Amino acid sequence: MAENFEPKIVGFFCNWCTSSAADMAGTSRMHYPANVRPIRVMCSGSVDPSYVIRALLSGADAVMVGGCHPGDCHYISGNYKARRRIAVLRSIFDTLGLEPDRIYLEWISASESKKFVETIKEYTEKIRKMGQNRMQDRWDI
Amino acid sequence: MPLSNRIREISKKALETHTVAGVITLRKTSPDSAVHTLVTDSKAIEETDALAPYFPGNVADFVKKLTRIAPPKEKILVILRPCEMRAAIELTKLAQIQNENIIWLAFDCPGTIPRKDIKGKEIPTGDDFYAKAMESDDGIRSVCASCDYVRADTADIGFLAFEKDAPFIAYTDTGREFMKSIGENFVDEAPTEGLNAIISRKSEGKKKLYEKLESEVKGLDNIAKTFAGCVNCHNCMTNCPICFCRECFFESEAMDFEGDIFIDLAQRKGGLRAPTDIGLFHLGRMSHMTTSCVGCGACEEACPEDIPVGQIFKWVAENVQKTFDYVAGKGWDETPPLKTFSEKELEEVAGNE
Repeated sequence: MAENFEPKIVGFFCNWCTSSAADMAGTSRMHYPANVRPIRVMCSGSVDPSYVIRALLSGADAVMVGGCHPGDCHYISGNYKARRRIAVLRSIFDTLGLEPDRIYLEWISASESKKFVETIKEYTEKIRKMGQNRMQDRWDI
Repeated sequence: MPLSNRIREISKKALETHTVAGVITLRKTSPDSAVHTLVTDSKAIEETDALAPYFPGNVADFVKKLTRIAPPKEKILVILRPCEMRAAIELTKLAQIQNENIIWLAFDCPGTIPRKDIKGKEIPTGDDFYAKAMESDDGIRSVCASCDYVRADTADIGFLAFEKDAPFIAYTDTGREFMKSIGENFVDEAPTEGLNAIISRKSEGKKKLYEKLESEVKGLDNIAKTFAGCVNCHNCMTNCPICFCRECFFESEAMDFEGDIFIDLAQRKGGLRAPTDIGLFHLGRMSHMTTSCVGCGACEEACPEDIPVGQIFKWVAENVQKTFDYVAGKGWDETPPLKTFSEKELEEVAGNE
């Protein structure tokens, strides 16, 4: 079972950068693991922490948020707000002993298709090693 | 003069001299319950006991109600606990309280007794309670026994009940003006002897509480067990002074799905409990408000299932706030963490898988 484990990673990707990087990776025929389920959002700053929590409670093994590099946000400061929110969430998970490493924020610009592919590969491997997220198969929470 | 009378005395004087149009303080409704009341008639002050160990909710919530649309044109004296002062500061920063005509009087607070332990009995008087609570934390709420913020120097006036002779102190010009206009004596510098003794006891209490939570609440199994009894009443949220959203995500359509999706969820999770989304609600609420949580425990007092929700939120919030080098409601100047950011910070959070 363990060696067949394919992690499911939900990706919240900013429309202006990480989503474009994913597109470019596709049009350039680069391959990345199918473990990630990308969701295009208008800005990493629009990702409420509850979306991340819901994903982790409903079947995701990890959640990755992709936003624009500092200084590059299409809406000027959305990525800085995203960073603060993810910091809050990771702190909560840390205090409660709930594996904060399953929540991951990365800056990937529209031109960084290579970084996008590498990041997805590395993170998928990391989650594969961590194993299944136990929150998702608890009926009582 | 007994401590409670000192507070009644200045409340009365403030109303009689028309220095303020109203006083907000704790007023009994029956032997075993009390509420925060806006008192405008000085005769009714006799029925109040600001120091009684009863916490009907955080008074900052009431001040929010009174000032959100427009602050009163006349002054109001608000007599409150340090945790309530902290919540009032947070709400002011979050543009939920307009404090122009509010005079804050914060008293040294040793804690309160759980409301459920008072039901059917009588609320002790402030004076009886302080005599005992100066020596021991027996019978007081867990969040109080572990609270080391027992004096708020952010108010206009302080009532230093922990110190010899319990002086009033004026911290601000508003406070000095108020005390002068009612002809009361006050000091300009706060003695700390009594305060330090209480703080060292409370710090011990906090250490013990966090150790208990580490072993009883930390970890997925413990969390599931701790929140298992949640009936989704949202009392904790309604009574939270910081949860001020007019429309709540957790009460929105976003909680409802087509039947097929619920079946799918049940198949994935090995069943689907009702009420649904208990984990999402509590973890989500933490992610929304712990940056400003003051640990007053209004949530826990309102929980019908005795879930230690106030203790847990206080513990989580302290760590969240540490991330931003912030203590909710400690001062008027610092910006709440989710209202601001800086370009160079938290570099370990992004791009560090």
